[in-house]
Amino acid sequence: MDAETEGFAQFVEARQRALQRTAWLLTGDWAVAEDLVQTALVRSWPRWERIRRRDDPEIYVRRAMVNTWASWRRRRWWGERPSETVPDTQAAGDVATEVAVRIAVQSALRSLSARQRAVFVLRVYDDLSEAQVAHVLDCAVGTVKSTMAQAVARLREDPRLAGLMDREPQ
Amino acid sequence: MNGMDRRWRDLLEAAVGEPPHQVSAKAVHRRVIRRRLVEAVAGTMAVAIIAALALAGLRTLGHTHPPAPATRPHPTARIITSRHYHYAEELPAGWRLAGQATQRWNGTGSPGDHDPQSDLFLGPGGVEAWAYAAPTRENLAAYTTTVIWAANNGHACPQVQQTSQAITVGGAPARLLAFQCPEGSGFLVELVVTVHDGTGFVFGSQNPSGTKASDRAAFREWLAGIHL
Repeated sequence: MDAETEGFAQFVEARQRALQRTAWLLTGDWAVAEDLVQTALVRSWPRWERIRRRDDPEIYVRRAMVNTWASWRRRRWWGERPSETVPDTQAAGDVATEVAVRIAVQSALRSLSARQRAVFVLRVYDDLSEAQVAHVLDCAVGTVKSTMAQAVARLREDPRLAGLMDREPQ
Repeated sequence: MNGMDRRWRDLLEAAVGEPPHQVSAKAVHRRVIRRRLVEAVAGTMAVAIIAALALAGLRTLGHTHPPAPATRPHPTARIITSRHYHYAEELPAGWRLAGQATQRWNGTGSPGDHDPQSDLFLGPGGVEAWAYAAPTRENLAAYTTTVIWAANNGHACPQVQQTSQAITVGGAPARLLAFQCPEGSGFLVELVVTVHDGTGFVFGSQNPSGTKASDRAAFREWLAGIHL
């Protein structure tokens, strides 16, 4: 195995879980999230050496991931639509809380536009700086700030999410 | 990260859980190989089909001469006409149309590569080109200023460009602007502005990892294929 292949393999091993989680927050589906991460890595791999030399590989892969997701959404077969009711039921005990949180978060994220969702997830979950998010999304820092403000305002309007936010942290 | 951001993060963390499967480098390698194989097979099949069609066509026409050995596709097969903006692009080798604009641009703002108002093309090595247009009463100089102002407003591109060259696109005089957006980011964006028959056209290019000389050359090849 050459150094480039080894470096790529190490990156995938170290970061694949985090990338998949981000992808899940964007897509809301583990199978699609896995496919999205693989596709972004497939696109990055042929120019890995160049990316490693000139860029932060993680930022590059996240950028490929967000761009791929955006291009998938442009296709008509991407049938994701926001819904008032989620076709799921709550189970008993702790699992019920877990499921309720998952459903509330998924539903709230779906109410955001693609760009709002990407900015919110990259900024809050991945803890990227505004400049890094602007680099990933190829937009101005000011756009990131305003989009983030719009996303947060929208999420605050979600009653189920507000209920979860009002709870004391566990 | 402030307290509120931390609460949001905790909530997302609680919702996201653990991925059910791992993504391995081996799986990615397999997919890269499969993709290359599919591309190679598709290319070979396309050449074979075109050759077969050419042969069949010659036979139908009753030609008695042996067919020419060249099996290049007919050039018209690679000409794209913009659905909304009506320019044509004769695609150079390595370029393809990624998607036509799904909305007509209304002349305000500065659409980016993935905005619905842009026709998007993908070229060799990941280089991108996009295009949008709208009616204008301005001349080239005034329209160029309008485009720079919009790029500054929408993408933090500086008012003063790294380079600003006079060129022609599709036979029309144009300005080729290059700047880092945002300024100092090291991320080079090139915009070509032209006005033709009362329509202002903007053709943009960027490469996800920064623009190299080869990317700039690829964009110029793409520009040479524009017909207004």
